[in-house]
Amino acid sequence: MTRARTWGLPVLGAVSAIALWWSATAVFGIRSFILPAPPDIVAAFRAQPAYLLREAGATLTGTVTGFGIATVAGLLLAVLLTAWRSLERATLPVLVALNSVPKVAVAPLLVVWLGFGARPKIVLVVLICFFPILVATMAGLTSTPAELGELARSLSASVWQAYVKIRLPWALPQVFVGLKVAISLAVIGAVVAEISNPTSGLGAVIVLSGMSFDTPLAFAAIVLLAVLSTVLFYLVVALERWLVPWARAISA
Amino acid sequence: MIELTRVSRSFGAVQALRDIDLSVAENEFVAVIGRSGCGKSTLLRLIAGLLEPSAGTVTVSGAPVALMQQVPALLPWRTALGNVMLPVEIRRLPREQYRDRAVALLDAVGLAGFHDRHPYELSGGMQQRVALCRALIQQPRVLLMDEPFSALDALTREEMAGQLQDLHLARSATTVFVTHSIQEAVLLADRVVVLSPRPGRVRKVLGVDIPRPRSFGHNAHLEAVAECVAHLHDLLLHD
Ligand SMILES: Nc1ncnc2c1ncn2[C@@H]1O[C@H](COP(=O)(O)OP(=O)(O)O)[C@@H](O)[C@H]1O
Ligand SMILES: [Mg+2]
Repeated sequence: MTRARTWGLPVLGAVSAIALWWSATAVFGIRSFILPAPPDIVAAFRAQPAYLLREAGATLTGTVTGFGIATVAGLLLAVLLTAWRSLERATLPVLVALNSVPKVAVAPLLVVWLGFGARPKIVLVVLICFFPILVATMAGLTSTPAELGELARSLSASVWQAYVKIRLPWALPQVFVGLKVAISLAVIGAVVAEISNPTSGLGAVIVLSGMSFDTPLAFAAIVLLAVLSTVLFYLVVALERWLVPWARAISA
Repeated sequence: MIELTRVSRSFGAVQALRDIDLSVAENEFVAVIGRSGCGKSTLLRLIAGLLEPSAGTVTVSGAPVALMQQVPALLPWRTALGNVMLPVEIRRLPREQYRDRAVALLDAVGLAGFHDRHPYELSGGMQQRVALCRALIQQPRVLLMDEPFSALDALTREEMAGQLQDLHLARSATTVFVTHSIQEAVLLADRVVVLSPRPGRVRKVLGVDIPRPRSFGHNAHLEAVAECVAHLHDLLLHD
């Protein structure tokens, strides 16, 4: 019963959505270059799987690299800012102002500054992911319960020990809130960079297929993106379950 | 060992403690008793060095000082054993040697078989026992305890108090034990400090001259225990 609920219902929902879409294209006679039916998309993928997978690989590499850099930088800066309050007061307004710039708008500029390689893509992903990770980690690091802070002081723990043994582990559930937001944003950032500079990646596939009215190919790329994004999200969820099993237990 | 002279502490407009004079001798067991809100935890935090007095001086000689807080304050990602080992890691003591000691302590407080459980798998009383072990593993010269048995049922409470008495007799440390249980105070303490509320002041210091080991069972000192309990009861009720 529970098994049927956890797996059966989502599968049923997905299958019905696809069936609805398929029947809509059939019933209303929608032409393939407006809205392709599911078999057209499968056919588009099967026509050139190596090409699509290679471009998906390029998107994946850019996404994961940028996400990784943003995670390391976000965690380090969060520790710095929470340990050193005057630094926080000096830099946080600047960071907030920078974050309020729509990052998508700087995508073309990044190409001007950084050239046509993978770098503008990685930088855009970092820019988009960094802030949610920073904010979530800072929230986690400043939510250490008073009694645990007192415990650290009563044991004469150094600032470093208090972070490593108490504050950072305590912050982990909140860090993962930020990471889950950031991983979805990371894919968006990578695709936006690829659309503004269509030399590689699934974003480039979408731009090029749009130019040649090859809508089924564009849809194949979009489906791959959705799969990529979903898999990455659940990888982060799996990492969370592995690293902080206690968070679910104490919130239950 | 512990010396407080004319210690006051305010929080904004609220004066939590006023003019506290208290000295605790080496290896003495002092219980502090009073209604809730009369400044018992504040007094303990002052002795632990977690708070500075607004006036007066606090001196504590002897180290390490171990504090057992009013709440268990266990790390949810560590097992019972891992929590007991935290002070060992932070104070950089030899882990192998202290691991055996941690195991022995957990067994001694009735947590054999629960070493690998996480705090959320333990009852409130079991969590407090883990916290007790975490305080004791440091082999403190000064042991400060803030209502350590408050989350326990009456029976377990009595049992734990008995165990604490045994532990104290076996390897004594200068102990300040905050409680609002008269029985516990009489069972455990050499002297009982009665605080009166708002602002917290020392109302009376009562010596408990009953031979150890003490108990509430049938023994020769039942009368002395009853008398002491009645006296404290009076003091607490009429302030
Ligand atoms: N950190 C604090 N900030 C403000 N007021 C406090 C703080 N700690 C204690 N108090 C106040 O001091 C008084 C004594 O508190 P406490 O020492 O916790 O009492 P007890 O432990 O005897 O119940 C109370 O009125 C409480 O509200
Ligand atoms: Mg208290």
